[in-house]
Amino acid sequence: MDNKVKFNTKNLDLFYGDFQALKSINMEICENEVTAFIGPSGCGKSTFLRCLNRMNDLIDCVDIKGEIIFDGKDINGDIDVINLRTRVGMVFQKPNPFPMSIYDNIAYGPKCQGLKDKAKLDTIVKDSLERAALWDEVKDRLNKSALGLSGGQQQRLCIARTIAMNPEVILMDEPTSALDPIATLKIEDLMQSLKKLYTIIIVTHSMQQAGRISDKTAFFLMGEVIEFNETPKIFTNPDDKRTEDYITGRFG
Amino acid sequence: MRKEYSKELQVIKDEILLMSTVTEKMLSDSIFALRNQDVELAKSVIDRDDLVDKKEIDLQLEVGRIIATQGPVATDLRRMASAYKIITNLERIADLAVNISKRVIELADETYMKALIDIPKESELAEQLLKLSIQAFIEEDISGLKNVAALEDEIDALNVEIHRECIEYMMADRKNVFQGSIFSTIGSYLERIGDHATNIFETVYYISTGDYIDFNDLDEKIIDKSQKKNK
Amino acid sequence: MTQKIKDTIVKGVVYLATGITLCVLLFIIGFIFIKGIGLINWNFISRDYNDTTFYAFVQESNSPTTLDEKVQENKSDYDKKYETPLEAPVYVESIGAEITKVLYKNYTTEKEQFIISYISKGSPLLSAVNSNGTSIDVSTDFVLESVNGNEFTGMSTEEVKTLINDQSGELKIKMVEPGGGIRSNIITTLYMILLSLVVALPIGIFGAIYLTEYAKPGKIVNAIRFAAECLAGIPSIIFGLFGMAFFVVALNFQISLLSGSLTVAIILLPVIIRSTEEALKTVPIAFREGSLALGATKLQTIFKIILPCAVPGIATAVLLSIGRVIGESAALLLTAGTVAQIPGTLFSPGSTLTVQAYYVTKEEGNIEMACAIGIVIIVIVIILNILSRIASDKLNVFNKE
Repeated sequence: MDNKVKFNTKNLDLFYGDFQALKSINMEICENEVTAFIGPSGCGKSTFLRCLNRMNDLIDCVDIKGEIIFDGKDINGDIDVINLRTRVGMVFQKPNPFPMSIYDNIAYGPKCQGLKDKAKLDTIVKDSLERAALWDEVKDRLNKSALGLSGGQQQRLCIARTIAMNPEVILMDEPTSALDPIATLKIEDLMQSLKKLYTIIIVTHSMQQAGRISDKTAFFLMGEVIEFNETPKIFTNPDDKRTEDYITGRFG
Repeated sequence: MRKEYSKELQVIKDEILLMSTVTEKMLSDSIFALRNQDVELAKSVIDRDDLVDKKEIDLQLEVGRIIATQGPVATDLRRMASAYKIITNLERIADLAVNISKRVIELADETYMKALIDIPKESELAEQLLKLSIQAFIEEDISGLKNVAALEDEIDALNVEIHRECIEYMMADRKNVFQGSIFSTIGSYLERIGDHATNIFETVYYISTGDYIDFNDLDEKIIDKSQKKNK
Repeated sequence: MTQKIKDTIVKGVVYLATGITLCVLLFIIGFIFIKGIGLINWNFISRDYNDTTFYAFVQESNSPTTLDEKVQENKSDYDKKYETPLEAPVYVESIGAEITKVLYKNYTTEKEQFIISYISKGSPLLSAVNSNGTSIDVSTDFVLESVNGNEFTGMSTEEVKTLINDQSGELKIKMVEPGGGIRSNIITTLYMILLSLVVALPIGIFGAIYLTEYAKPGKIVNAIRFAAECLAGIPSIIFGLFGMAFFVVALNFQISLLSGSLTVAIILLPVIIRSTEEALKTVPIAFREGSLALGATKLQTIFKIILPCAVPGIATAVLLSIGRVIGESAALLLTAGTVAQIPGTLFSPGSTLTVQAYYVTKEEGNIEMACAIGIVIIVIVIILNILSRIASDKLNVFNKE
């Protein structure tokens, strides 16, 4: 696949105080692909993901070196973080719908950007929910609290909320780890259909999931990218012994 | 659910269908070449083997990729494991068609000792059996179990008949030994093809039921079971 | 000694401690109720503490009204308690009411006076007006002191009757509405709650937002937190002294509602900051992240997501604050005064219920009234508790369907 490069990181180092969480990450993430990050806990995959929309800003004593080029600009440089986050959305591990109505959850992002036109908001809400394959399930209860939805629906609502901002990239941090298998498969199908419109980067603990949904997979270990390649290649014939050990469960 | 996997499974089935069509054509062409002593056609069958070999490797890689990335279980896993076996069997059938074609080239300058009747008939039956098995795989339908068993028996009987006839001819006239042994071998090739086709059906049976059957001691019970399964 | 015996002993101690606590609590509440319940009636709540003297203008009736069925039981327990009838009641036709000469005696005063003991239907007293022409709600128990300038002092009931009947035309009667109630204290208390919350809530909430959302953990924040905690531990009389020196004297607010409420607001700040901070901390970090990841600014996140989630906690803070205001006496004694009146302006003094309870106990030795005030306070606290619980349930974003 010869897709355009969306993210390009160059020698990215990240420190939590004295602890180096990411070591010289060089990675090119392409447009309209699903890229999966796998690796054992604490290997830095989530940390790296959070670098891509500067969510690490929320944590004190984080020091980042190196470049993350997003559409030709280094996002660690002098850029508008708010703007970056509208272009690079994020879905979290636990479904985190806001304690408000389904409609308000979706409209929250656009409203924060100053959109007040009711008709436009209605369209955005409908479109986003449709794209997230949730519209049919919630169209009659848009004004009910989002907390009344099931876990899987909540997570799809969170995806719809992210889509409402019309981002270019969607980051997903273990989006199905709190869901049951059926809800998980629904989200996975959703990702496959969303990949045509957005670039998706997903962190997952489930190797099977990475195999099922991603085009490319990066294996992280101790803050380093051990192997980054086409997913079938990683899963049938990885280049690195450590990748092999990890995906075959002979790790450690 | 699992749209992506369903799509990939369909691709595999389509590819296997394509491969089996090519193989069938090779088989029928080789027998056609035998009957008409058409060396060119026989050579083209031999050439086509490369295509089938390449397809076998490609498909095996693809099935391996699907097993690695999609992590199929239960019926899905049996489907993929069976696909592996079917691909191998098809490739073996193609190899046997090539063997027949090679024999055709060997027989190019001979005048046949008798008109060919049983061999085309056996090949036709083998072809039918292959079609039936592949059909069963595509549709995952094992209701043709009885037909398959009957066809296999018929092929075996024909093979025995061909052997007996060849031996008769060879005993009658020593000049016939060359042709007789080749025709006898071709008969065995076709019987082998029938076996491979039956193997394919056995894997389909495995997909549907998770059990293996042995066509050599097929009893009514298994047939009943398979019919129940299909209802 | 086996483990089992040890367990039994420990268990016994636990039960005993609980029992003692419960008994003490019941004893206190029981004491207050038994002592004070006798005083509780509508008059107690609706009347001012002090007597109010005024002139009533009454049109003398031309055709004297007659005595209809008397209902002596009209008289309240409170009045019965302090009044002893000296002479038999006498019906005065021209004002259509029965008057009685009684001996009034309470903790501080003892005097003879004439009271209206019954008002008949159609009595001209019912349409009495004051000097401004506004109608007065004359009721039984009102004390009569003079008519058209003639004082009643030293007269007998019959003489008073004759005096009133002798007058003609419009009567100008000097009346005294008896006090002994706590209406002004209730209203002052409510004012105090409202004013101090208006001042302390925004400051406290914004302070808590700063501490949880903006301040980088470090020495300064710890210092602020330490200060707030110390503030919570300082006895309120110290705040009272400060309020007295700063608001009353330095800012020249006088002893007033304003000085009192500002002082109380300072006392409330640590309470509000603490509980709001706790409430803000319990808002899951996932909401913050979710909001920020959608491109919301920090301010939008705080006001649209975090604060609504913290409403139940803030409601608790309000509840605690109200309790604190109601319970506050030392600081208010020095800053808002002990005058039992409804403060007309921010700069007039007024005493809250607790201050009044202190005052009547200390100055008059009137334990019954203090206990009655105690009952009222308990009732108010219970009502406010229920109200704020309902409000916080209604506002709780997590409860909504």
